[in-house]
Amino acid sequence: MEIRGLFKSFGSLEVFKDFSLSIRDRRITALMGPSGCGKTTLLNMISGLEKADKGTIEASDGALFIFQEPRLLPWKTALENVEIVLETLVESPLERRARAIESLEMMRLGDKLDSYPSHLSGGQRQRVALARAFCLPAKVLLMDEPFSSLDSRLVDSIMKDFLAMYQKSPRTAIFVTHDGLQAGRLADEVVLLGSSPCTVLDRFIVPSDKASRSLADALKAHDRIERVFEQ
Amino acid sequence: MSKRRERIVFALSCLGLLALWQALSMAVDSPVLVPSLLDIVKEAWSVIRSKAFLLNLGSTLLRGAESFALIAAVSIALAVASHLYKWVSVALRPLLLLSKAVPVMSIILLAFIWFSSAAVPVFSAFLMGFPIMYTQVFSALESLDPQLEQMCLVYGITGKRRLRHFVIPSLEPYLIVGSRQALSVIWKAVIASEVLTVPGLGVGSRIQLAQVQLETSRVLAWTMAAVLLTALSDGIFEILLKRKASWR
Repeated sequence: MEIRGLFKSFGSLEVFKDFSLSIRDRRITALMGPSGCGKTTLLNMISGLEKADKGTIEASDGALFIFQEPRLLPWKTALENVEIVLETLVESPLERRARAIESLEMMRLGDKLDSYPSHLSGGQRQRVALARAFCLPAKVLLMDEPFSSLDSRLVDSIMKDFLAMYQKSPRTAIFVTHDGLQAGRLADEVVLLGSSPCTVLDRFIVPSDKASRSLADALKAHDRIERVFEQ
Repeated sequence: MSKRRERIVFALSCLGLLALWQALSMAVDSPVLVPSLLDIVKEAWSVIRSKAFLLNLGSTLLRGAESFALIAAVSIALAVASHLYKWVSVALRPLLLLSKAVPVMSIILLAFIWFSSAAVPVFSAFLMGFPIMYTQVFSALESLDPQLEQMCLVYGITGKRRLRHFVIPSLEPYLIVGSRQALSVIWKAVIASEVLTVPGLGVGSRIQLAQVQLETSRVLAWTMAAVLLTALSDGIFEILLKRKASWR
């Protein structure tokens, strides 16, 4: 994915000024930076929720969003929440159901299909949101701190299941996070941003394969991120 | 307070009110001023058994249903218009303020001057119920969750599907609460109009005629029929609300 010559201001605040970034296809790129540096705005522009003042973003058609909050429809069950997004894509209701169930089972929610969001825990709700995103074939996956509102004990297992699901159908994923260790564990590449206007401070490839990465490698990436932001 | 104790206190309070009434009627000792409980029950029984009972009740019910349908259609249309175009909501403000401030009786009397008597109950009930329903639907539309709105956009839930999966379910609880509150003022307005305009059939007409004939126990018997209408519509919407809220 190529982002070229991007400009975006809010009033007199120039968030992006001739910003360019290339993101590797079918890899997970972690995007990190201080709050207000424009990460969420960048995701919004890639998904088309916001318009850039100037510049181009290539290969952004059909980007999916995983938000910090699960954003499920409260009056629909876990299964229905996933089925809905397949409505325009899969014509047969039976196949729709089968695909939704498969996706939810991958997220270990096979026994919660008929539960309403209010009867699920925060972690389970976010799992439904992940299943909802992954059952769609979109090439680009945008994740805005999807694990940051969860209990730290839950994050590990959700990230593991997320990776398994991702490996089954890899996409170009942009993963915005504040947590260097989460970036170190999930990302193929880490991009560090500075603010006003948004610039790339540093970018590096995390050496080992994310599916079998050791904690030590993740910590190494984490330390490098810390060093850059300390300067 | 536990549910059980709550019920006991509630039941005792009801009994207390009845006892108070009975004591009063015995003290005053005049069936025209305060008829005894037994007289009222007897009268209510004869009212219910009379052929005209269902006709009168049905006429009032029909007038209420008519104004309710009118209120629902107009409120939803205007609330949607107000949501889409701010000027509509501003333009409606004076009318809403007016209908809240003007006494019900003034509306009914003015309607009686302007229209044929048949239109008075429906018109005055409309004017009383419309602001309630409109306010509910409008505020529901204004408070649609922007995060879910964004989610729908990103996940391609747009157009009719957005309406079906997101907008209408968001409105449902407001519609039910609005209907319930609107109906409770509709019954009051319709019956008050009937008392004043005395159409051939109607609970209000019966109350009016009973009052003229100083049949106090019959006034009370027909009043009980009016209470029944409100209780009935309240009950229906209570059940609807509970059923719709199973996901909470």
